[in-house]
Amino acid sequence: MTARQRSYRLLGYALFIGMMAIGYAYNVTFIQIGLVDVGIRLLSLNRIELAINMSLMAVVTCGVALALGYLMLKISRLRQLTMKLRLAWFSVMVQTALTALILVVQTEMQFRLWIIGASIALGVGIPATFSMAVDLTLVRHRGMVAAAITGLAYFVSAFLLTQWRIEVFAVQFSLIMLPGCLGLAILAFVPQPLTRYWSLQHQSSEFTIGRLVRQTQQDRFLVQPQIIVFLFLMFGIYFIDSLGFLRILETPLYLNTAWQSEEASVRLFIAVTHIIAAVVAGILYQALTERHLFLWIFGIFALVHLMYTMHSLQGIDDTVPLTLPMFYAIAVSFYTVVNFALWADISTPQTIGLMSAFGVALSGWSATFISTGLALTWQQTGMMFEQHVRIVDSIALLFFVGMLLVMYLRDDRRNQLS
Amino acid sequence: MKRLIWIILFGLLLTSCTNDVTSIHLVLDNTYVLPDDSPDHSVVVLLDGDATLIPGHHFEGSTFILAGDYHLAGTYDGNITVFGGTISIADSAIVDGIINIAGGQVNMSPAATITATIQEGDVQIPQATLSTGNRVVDQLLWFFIQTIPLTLLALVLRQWWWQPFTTIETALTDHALVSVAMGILVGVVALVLIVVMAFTLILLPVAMVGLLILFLAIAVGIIATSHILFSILCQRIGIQVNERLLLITGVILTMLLLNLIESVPFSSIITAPLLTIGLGAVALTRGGLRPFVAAYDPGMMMES
Repeated sequence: MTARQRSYRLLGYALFIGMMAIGYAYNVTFIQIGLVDVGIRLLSLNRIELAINMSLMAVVTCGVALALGYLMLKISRLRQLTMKLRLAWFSVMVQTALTALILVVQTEMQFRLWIIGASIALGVGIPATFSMAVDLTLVRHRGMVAAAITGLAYFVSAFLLTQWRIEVFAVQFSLIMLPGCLGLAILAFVPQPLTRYWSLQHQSSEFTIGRLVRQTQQDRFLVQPQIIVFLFLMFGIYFIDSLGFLRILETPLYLNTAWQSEEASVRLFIAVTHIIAAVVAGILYQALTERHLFLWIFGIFALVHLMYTMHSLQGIDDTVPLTLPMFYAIAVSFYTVVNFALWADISTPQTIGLMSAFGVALSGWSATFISTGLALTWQQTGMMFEQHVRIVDSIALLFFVGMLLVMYLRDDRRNQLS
Repeated sequence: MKRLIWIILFGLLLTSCTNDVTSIHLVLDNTYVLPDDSPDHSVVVLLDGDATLIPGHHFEGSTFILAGDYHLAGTYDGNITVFGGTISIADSAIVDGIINIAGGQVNMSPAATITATIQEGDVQIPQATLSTGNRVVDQLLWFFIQTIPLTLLALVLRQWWWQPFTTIETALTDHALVSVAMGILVGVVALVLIVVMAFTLILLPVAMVGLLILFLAIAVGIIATSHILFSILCQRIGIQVNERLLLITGVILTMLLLNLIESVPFSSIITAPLLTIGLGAVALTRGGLRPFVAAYDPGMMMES
């Protein structure tokens, strides 16, 4: 490999990491937190009305992503890197415009139209961007690439985005996304050696045969049937995360002593924890089996929610130990790394569009917004914090015990067979 | 079957909080009325809700209040430790024993008969201090306290656990980065889990066992790491050393190094990986009982 080819490959990594990290930071802050702020503070919607709008977003995003994923499976032209770049550019361009326009929204109807527009853009963006993994990143580096995306995304969200208000988000993200939009336009529409080189990379098996893809003797690539299990488990993780985190964010004691602390050192601590946890997860992603990875994720989530439950039960003072947000950061970073690497690793260049649509949109996106809706509804009905977090903890624990049981039964059956 | 035995042992462990405890009342919510003339030594842990000892009733045992309301109107004989929540002692109450007030709110009626000793402030945990007044002697003493058990453990491993120990070493050398990552994860999660379990009081014995296992895993990890490092050093300088001597010298030199660099700023950059890499290798191999095989090897594609 020549120095030029190496630099091209590195630029490919940089593009993928940067694009995914900013996209993810946008989703976890602007979409997940910012839209709640718009709905409740600016439009004075009640939480149930907001929950309905968020559900609409989940349904439209999911539908568009699945439709495009299916088209990418059927139409080979849509699987070309140039086309993926164009689709990604369309998504970013629409999102940039909508981000700038959010402050103009004044009625619920406008808000709903904004949501439909954003959902279409996001639905296009999910299969288009996630499927670039097979063009730009080597299979053996996917864990660390996912770690870099996760670390960067959470560092930006936890440390650099200091004020979680839609006015601030709108300005900050417009400034970040505008140059990204222009850069993607150049890559997508101006023919050049860089994109030509990238578009040929997927011909090497080092890029395409994910670690969870089995190769048949006829050289036909089949996806493991565990895809349904992965979808279910990732759905569970996203559901647990959103259901718990949204309520934590709505509790000033926990928000103001951690993610929105006035002390920069606290926010920096959380941001650095995200980075370290992401690196650890990136290394372990390559080393551990999927079952062990999921077991760790559910275990940490169960532990962190137990910690929040115990702390809220004490109800003694207004101090919150930093171990609480620290553990939350570990849990979140861990599963985000898995999310960024898993869908590419169960796919082939043909199936990655649909698989990532299934994985990210159906499993992640819908779970996030269903749980967001549920969290808002519970809050509207007056459910206490302890009760809310305890339910989330129970769900996490149920998944954890379920995983343990499955592992035990499989080992037991294997022992019996041998 | 083995796992089932572990689960049963784990369950049995839960029942052995202290020798003389005859019953445990864990109050999580709602109102709980303590039974009259409870067995000789009962324990009440109030995590939320209300617990009441009604007038005329007698209770003997210990009470830990973390949150919720505790109404005492009967005859109480034993210790009460208040971490949080509220305890109200009514006119009709007769209290004997010790009341430790570490937090929360205590409302005592002046008419109540209280012969109990009242201790205010933080609950004192006995501390073992080792200080001769001389810094160098103290450091030397501390060095021996750490090194002698480690050396003995190294000899035990050599004698009775050698095959699993070499499995740990193989994981450590072949998967150093994975071992560090796993060590960080296990270290952080285990420590927090132990603290959380200890905080529940009822799981305190489990927490103690967990802490012991964690320390043992760290110790085995240090021995394995030092053995590998010292073996490499001996190979480099061309010395042939007996295996036992290699183990012991490795441990002593590593502990010496750790103690020497302790006072150097940012020494944790060296000590943290040294501690975590071994712990990770122990965790990955489940104490050396299973060789670690990475789930994904880029050189091999799985054939279905």
